[in-house]
Amino acid sequence: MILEDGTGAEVRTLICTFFLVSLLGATVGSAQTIRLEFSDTPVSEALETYARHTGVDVVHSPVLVRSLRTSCRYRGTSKRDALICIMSGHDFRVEPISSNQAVLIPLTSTIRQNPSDAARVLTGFVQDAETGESLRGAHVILPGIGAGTTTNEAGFFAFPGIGEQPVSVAITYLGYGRLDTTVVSRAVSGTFPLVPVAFEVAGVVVEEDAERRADATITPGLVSLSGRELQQMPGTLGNTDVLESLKWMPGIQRAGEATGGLLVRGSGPDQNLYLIDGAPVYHPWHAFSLISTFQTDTFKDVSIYRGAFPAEFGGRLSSVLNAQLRDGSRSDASATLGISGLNASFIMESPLSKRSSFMLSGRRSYIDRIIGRTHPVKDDFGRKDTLRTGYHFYDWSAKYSFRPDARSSVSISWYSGRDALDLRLPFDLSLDFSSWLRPADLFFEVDQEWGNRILSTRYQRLLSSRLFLTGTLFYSRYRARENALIRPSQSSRVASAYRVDLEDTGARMVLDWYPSLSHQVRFGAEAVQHRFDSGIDARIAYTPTLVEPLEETSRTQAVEVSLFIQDTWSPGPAVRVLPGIRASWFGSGPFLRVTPRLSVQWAAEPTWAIFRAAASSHVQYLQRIRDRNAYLYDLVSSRWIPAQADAPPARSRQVSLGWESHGIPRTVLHVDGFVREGSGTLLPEDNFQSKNGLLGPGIEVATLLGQFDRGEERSRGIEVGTQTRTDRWLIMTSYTRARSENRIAASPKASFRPARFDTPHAFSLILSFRKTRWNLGSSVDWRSGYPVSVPTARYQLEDPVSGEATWYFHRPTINNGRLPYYLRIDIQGAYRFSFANASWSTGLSLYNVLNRRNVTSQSWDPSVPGGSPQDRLGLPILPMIDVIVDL
Amino acid sequence: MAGCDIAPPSYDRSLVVEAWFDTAAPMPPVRITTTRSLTDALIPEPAPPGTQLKVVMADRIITYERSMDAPLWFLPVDSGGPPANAGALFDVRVDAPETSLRASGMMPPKVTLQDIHVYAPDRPISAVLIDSLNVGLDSLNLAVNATTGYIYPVQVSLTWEDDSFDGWMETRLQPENAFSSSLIDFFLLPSEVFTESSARHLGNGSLQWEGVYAVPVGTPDSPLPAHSLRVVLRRGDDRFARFITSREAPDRREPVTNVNGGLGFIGGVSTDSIRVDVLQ
Repeated sequence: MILEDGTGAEVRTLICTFFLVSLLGATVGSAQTIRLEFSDTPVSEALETYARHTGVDVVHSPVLVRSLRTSCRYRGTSKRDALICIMSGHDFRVEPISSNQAVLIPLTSTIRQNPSDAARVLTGFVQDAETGESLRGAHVILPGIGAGTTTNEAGFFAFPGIGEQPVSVAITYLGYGRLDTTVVSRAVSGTFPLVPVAFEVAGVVVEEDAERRADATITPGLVSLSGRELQQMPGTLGNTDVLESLKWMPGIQRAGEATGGLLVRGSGPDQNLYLIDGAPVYHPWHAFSLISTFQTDTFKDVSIYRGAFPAEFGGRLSSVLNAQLRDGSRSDASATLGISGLNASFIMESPLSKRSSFMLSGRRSYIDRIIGRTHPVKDDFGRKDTLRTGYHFYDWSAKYSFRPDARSSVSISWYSGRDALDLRLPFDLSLDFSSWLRPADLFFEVDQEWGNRILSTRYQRLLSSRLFLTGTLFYSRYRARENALIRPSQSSRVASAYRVDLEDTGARMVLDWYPSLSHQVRFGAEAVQHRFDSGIDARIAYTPTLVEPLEETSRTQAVEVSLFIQDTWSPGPAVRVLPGIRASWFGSGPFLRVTPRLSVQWAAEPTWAIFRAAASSHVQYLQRIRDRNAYLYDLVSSRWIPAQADAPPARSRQVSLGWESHGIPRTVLHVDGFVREGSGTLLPEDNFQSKNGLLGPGIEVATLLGQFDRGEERSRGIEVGTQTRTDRWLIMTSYTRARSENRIAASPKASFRPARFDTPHAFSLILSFRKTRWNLGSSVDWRSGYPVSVPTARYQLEDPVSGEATWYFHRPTINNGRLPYYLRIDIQGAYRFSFANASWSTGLSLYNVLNRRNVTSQSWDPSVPGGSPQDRLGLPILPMIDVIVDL
Repeated sequence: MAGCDIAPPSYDRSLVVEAWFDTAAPMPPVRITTTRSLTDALIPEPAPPGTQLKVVMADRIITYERSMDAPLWFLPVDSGGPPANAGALFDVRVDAPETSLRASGMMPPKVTLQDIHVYAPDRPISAVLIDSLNVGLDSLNLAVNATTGYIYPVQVSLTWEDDSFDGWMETRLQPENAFSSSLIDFFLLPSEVFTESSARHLGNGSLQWEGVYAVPVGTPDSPLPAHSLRVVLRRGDDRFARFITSREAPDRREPVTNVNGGLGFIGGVSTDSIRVDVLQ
């Protein structure tokens, strides 16, 4: 090999050599004796000879090796050593593709472009060959040139500056067969169809690396999953769920046992941005956060940025979940029906014409249909009443896709989801189980509903061979209602009606500009109008004449405008840099914030040594808080509060480093480290304040903000994840060692304390096995217990008037203890068969198969001697059955 | 990153001071105790030997000594002299071995209860008595242990003079037999802490507050039992309100202290209290 002066060249040579030795050993080695002898032989000729002897096809650019010659003599059984021998002295790296194919990529030279070729651009759209759906994040490489990129949301890619000569193109995407083709003409933008391949087909290499698409990404911490991958992930309680699947990734966890929002790298649940086709979703949960609104089958692609995210995204501090609904098949109509323990669902898709298609899906819980929503009851005296036990949730997702021509597409996405609880409980309920269905004077009645609705219209057009436009108009609404009527005695009652509305109406325009082979610039603008509207009308009647009313309305709105620009810059074949900057203006302040971002990827060795680093700054103008005093008017959900003069936007800064290795066959290893700090996040002013009344001080924004102080937070951690995928097995492990702390900023003496969900250790394991008819899986979830404020001493106070003495616990430090560790093991099994011209799958899942009652919270009684806590326990073992029919 | 999780909490030994200086009242006894470990018996522990209490009220130094008969208490020498007047500034300092603590404040105007009205219905009403509203999906803890019973909701109105005091008022109705149910408590109003400016202004220079307490009875025909009721009005500053409102849930939290370096409460208040007999 050519040794340049300087350490860098030596390192690269060593890396290259090590790569050849370690990687090709697994893929190229065999027991057959190889005899090669070259003396000043053209490399191209030597490679042909090598291919004949070994059966390994080495893809390379004839132009780049045309002038190279090799002299080597080899006798042995190692194909790797033979190739090392041939390439010795030449500065190339090899990217293995399969057991019988490898690609030679120039290692040290920058991408060579002929000035006369600068105006020519190779462009294309990557699509699913069966359904015609665009494939975002497909990995497109030009082996002969050493250039690579990923497709955008429209499946589009572009390589400017490609000459007129035919060029080899290789496209990979997990779950699809690799496409190797040669493009002869660049006159028009081509379409590159990828053929889906079933995971379990033996002998077919779907893709060697499970997260190879991420290889083309630059930002560390990005997890990108196709719909096919998501469907392989284990679900919970018989449901496959996007957000539930993501919790198996390092650095991501759920706040509660089976409920609660996502926590990413020690952040709060409100610091994550959830996007469906570009429209934000503010409360992506059903069934009190038991399952999410992101139904796995309806998405073709989901990406989540943990921590640092590029400048094209903004508005949150911690993470961005970017999900794309399926376009709908353009080839065949199909329908899938499913029923699980929680809900029944369907999804159907079909072409409408040669240029258009649609997808429609629905899901609804049915427990109310089984037990009934209303129950007429009658007592011994003939008095009648109604017991109501209604609860259900539903989702509707739909997408219409239309391609007016080869250069443009239009899609309209719609999602609507709603939860509704209708409960009327006579409180005789628990007196005597045998007679609980009877009228009662005293009852609790609540009617709640909450849900999201989004509408997104997206127009994508290839304006020229170098300029791609994506325009999005979106509307997102979160609405919650709660009407409660409680009458605990004949003379007292509370009646309250509380509502929360949040609406976003926005437009986003993004342009992808491909000025050269080494630069891909994305820039754009976004404008969103946020509307917040809340109101309460409540009355507490202590007696018929002593009535306390509370009637308040809170309305505000704010405009948020953002501009961003980022450049995917490839200064060399091994280095990619993504600098970016985002400037945003928020009207209710007003506030102007500029947040720079920088990500770097260095493929020091393309198989086992891909390094990534990022430094980024983020700003969040909306924070979610909840009243800490009142039982009423926050049962449905918390409130989103816009930044304002006394609650400026929260900011965070993060540095992260990542290492990715594909050195072990069919296995991807990720190691990521991060350090993060934030300011301006809202923390409870009184951490021990708990709900102690039906009505609190009110719903005005200023009143709610009065319960919180500006806080500072910091977190750091190391995440290790592995993913091994074979024809039949999927094995994923995840370990996170992290700390997350915060403190009140206004109290300079306050030291950082563990955050509410600080989790020093978290480990998870997924095992999934597929055979022709069987699909078996198990998951293990282990983590440290959440922090808890443990009393350290006890003291007595005496009332000066009554003389009554009361014991109290002294808790000088918040979150100074921990709950016991959490451990849960779930197992799932499914059997597939054909019946009545349909494909069936029936499954059984066992939640918490060990029936380990994890401790979810603890409480102490200061009037009881000793300091032992009372434990509140989590869910026991729960079985769930599901049936899916593909028509 | 290195190291293990948080270490087990250690016992934190602190002084607890309770000093309620009342406007126009003699200097009160002051209670000084020490926190106890969680494994100790539920017996308050006196302040350590050598503890000294010094009170400065309106530039007058008042000497306190530990009571020989009740070691938890410190008593003013010679009754502490004349009562404190409204607006007087005070400063309290407690010195104990290895620690000292301090608090200061100002005496509020004297509050005077002007009128009390008590109203009870003719017959008791049925009510749901429930132990807990603690409902959590994670624990499937949806069952509630409820019983039904009968109560007399007794409505009381208190009237006092409006001193245009920019502070807080605590009102309290304390029947001799306390009654409690998690659910009913929400619909009773036996006590409240509020800013005086938010109280009902009667127009004659008086302020009024109305509350409700419950008297449980056994049957729907039971008459209202004759009982004794203590009515308390107490005014104070922000720190007083914070302490009072945070001491109502001993199972969840401890009161917010205003004692720098210790626990408890040292403050100036004005209290008017009266015991009334409520007859059938």
